[in-house]
Amino acid sequence: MTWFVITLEVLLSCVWWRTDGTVSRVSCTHMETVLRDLEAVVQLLAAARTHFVSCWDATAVRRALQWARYCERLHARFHSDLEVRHALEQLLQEVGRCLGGQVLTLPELAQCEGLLIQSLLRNPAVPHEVTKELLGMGTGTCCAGQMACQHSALPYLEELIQYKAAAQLLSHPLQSILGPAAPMDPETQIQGKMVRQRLDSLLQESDPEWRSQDFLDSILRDCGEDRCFSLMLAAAALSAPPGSDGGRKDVVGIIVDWLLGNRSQLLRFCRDIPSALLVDLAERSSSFREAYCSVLEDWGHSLRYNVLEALWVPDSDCAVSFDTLVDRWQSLLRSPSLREGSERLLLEMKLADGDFDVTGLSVWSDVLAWLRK
Amino acid sequence: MSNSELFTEQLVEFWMNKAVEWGQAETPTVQFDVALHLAKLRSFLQDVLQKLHATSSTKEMMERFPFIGQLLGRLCWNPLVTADEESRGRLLRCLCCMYSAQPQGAVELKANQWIRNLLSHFCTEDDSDTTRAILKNIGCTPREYHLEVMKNMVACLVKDVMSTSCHAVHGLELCSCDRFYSISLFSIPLVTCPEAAPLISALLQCPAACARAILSKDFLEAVSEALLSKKLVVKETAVVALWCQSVTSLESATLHLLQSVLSIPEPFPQELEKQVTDSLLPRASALHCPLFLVVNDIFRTMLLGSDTNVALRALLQTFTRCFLRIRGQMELQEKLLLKAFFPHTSQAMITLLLKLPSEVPEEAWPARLLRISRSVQMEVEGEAGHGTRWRRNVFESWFLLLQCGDWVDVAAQVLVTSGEEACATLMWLLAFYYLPADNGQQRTQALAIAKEAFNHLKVLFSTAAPPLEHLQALVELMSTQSSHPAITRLVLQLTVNFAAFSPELPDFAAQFFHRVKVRCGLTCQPLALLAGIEHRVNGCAILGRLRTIKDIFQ
Repeated sequence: MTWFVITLEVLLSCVWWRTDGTVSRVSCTHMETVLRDLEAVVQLLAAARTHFVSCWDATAVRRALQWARYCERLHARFHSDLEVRHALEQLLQEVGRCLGGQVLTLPELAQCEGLLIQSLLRNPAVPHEVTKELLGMGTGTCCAGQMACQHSALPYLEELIQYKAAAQLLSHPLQSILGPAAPMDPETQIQGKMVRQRLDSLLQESDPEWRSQDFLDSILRDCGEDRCFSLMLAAAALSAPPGSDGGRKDVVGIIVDWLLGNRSQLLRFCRDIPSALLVDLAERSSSFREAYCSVLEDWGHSLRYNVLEALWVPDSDCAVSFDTLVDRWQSLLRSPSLREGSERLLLEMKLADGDFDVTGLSVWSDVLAWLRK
Repeated sequence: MSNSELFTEQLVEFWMNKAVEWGQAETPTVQFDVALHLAKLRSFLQDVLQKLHATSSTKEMMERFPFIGQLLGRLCWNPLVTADEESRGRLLRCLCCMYSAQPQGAVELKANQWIRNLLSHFCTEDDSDTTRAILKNIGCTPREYHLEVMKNMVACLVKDVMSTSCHAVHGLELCSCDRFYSISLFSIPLVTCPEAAPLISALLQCPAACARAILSKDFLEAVSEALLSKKLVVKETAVVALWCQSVTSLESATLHLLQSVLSIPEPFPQELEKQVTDSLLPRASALHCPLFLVVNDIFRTMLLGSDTNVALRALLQTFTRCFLRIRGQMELQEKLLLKAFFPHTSQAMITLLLKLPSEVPEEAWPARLLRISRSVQMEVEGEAGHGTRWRRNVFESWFLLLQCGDWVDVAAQVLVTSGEEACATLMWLLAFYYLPADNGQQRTQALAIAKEAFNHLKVLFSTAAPPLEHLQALVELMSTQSSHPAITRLVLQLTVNFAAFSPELPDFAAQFFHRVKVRCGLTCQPLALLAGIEHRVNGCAILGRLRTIKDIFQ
């Protein structure tokens, strides 16, 4: 309890310029100030979710918003500076432990203002005058009339609603333009692009493979069963400019490595993504091509011939249908660079099965027969 | 309407029904309806907001307007409404206003809770797991994320619009150009959003030439309004494309220019030129003859209402000057003949007047001016009978003269050094410029006064120690109580030109101008005239002279 009271006093007595001044070059003493400030903000955010807010007043909430915005500026300034970032991450871990396990991650610092506003709106312990102040209509405010007060949550809320509404509005004409068969909607494209940009910057750091794997694992954890995860990963891989520079790992390589290390994700990926995009990716990465072909091979082997219906049927829930298999191979054969290799592979597999031209004996000969029609 | 209710039952029912209807689906039909009612919705929300400020408590508000919560809630969830800047702002403020700082009783507590829930849902509503994962792991704000998504959508739509290549005439197969109508409908609330500007531009300049590629009228109107209030900024080509598609928007733009110019009684040439050029009207008119004709028509109508308005004359002069300059820079094959732009005037007049004085060598000015004056005189005094056709011809000649007022300014300058014979002709031109109608011998009277003033001026500026009575007579002529304001201006123009262009500025000049300033109360007018001359001439000597005279008047 005591740490909170101290924090509040520190905040309320804080000199105005710190929240308003620009963040300049980092020096030793400056670093200390930055770390101290960050600690205060994290505690502030935590306090916003507890019953301690019941002793806040209008000034406190205004100051809190200013601190949150300052914190966002800190993040913008320092997240690309490796040393400082390590220090910040360590501090966040430490403070989180002190607060009883609620760790704020560094990327979440960029959303300080939003998190604060959300916490205050959801916390029933917040006094009514404080919420009124948060909404820009407190008794002491300068402009309860026309313009949204800069020191309230209104500008944030308004902008958020604006862009969301605009995106929703534009999605209607886009749907009819892109059509139902379109592989990727604009939102997934942007998500992919953001992931790629992040991977690009991770590649510049030390130990990039571990960091990127960790990053992708973390996103997977947070996405859960959302189908869009695979699409987003594909968008990230395909948005990278084609052609890697020599032996250095690039984003496509990182993503493929991650997929190869995660068999279930690879299967999910191959199933969820439309074949045209998979072919695109196979053209860019030979290791993916191999993995993809091996998945197709597995799928083929999990089909059983039903003599009564004269059809190939999947023998388990995770296998795909015969038609899907044919479709995938067809897309591969359409690609100029992959056609030869894929056709050769199919012939080899047919040969291994006995090279029969009768339906029902080897799935590969039937696939080839369909493709040749 | 009972005393306790804030709005009539019908009004409330109307908006509740609309809110429900609009919430059913986000189809182009619904969007069309929203666009139709947007202005009314905005003012209704403004009313609600004002009444909210006026009531003392939320409880009272809910008693007098029981459905307010439902209505605001429904509207808040509708992106067709919240995409519009003004509606969104007012809705949010209504909600924030309804929050009670000191809630009394269950109703207000519940309202507070509801508002908090609603607003917190806006922060995270319908964010998919993937979106949340991205936000958590990448470290951008929700605002940045949604902004990027919107920008990407805009880019996709722009690409689609600009890649259409539908020809004007095609067979019976359907093209999909009617999608532009629905895109324009959905873009109406976004015209003031800077990130949507590329899409607005693309729609206006859409390359499809087929008859089905039309844009919504409400969209064009919204774009026009946003441009005039400077909330939307697009390239010149897009603005011109807008005007070509919608005459109403061209008219609004012209009236907007007129309004801003006519609010200044004595506009100075540099600022006026900047204002006129910035309006993009001269360029658009030079590129498209029909646009010029519309703008000119509006000017003509304004002129018929108020012919002695100095600002309007200055505007006409500046507009034509900018127009001619732009035409001068165009490639030969791009240009239509001037006759197409001025169908009501004779080719002879067009050739004489529609060339800027700056493009004619100074030595040729007197001869040209004489020809101009004689041509106009012929139009006015030539035809026997004073029927409607004659009146129209005179008006058109005068209108053209106003537009080419640069030549009238030059005439005043040439008068200073011209001989007797030329002087009479040029004086007539000036008199006609200021007083075209000769009702009650106005013009004849003006001519006589001008001649008198000219004689005085000639004497004053050619002798070292002029007789005082000339000075006094001149001041008398200029004092506004005794004559028509147009005549005063004519005399003032002659005086200023004599002061500027005589070989030497006499010593009494300072005293004289001071007298003019005090006795006749003229400061703005001379300064404007001097600024006009300054804008026109080059040469340090003359600029120095002008500065001296300006100092006296300031």
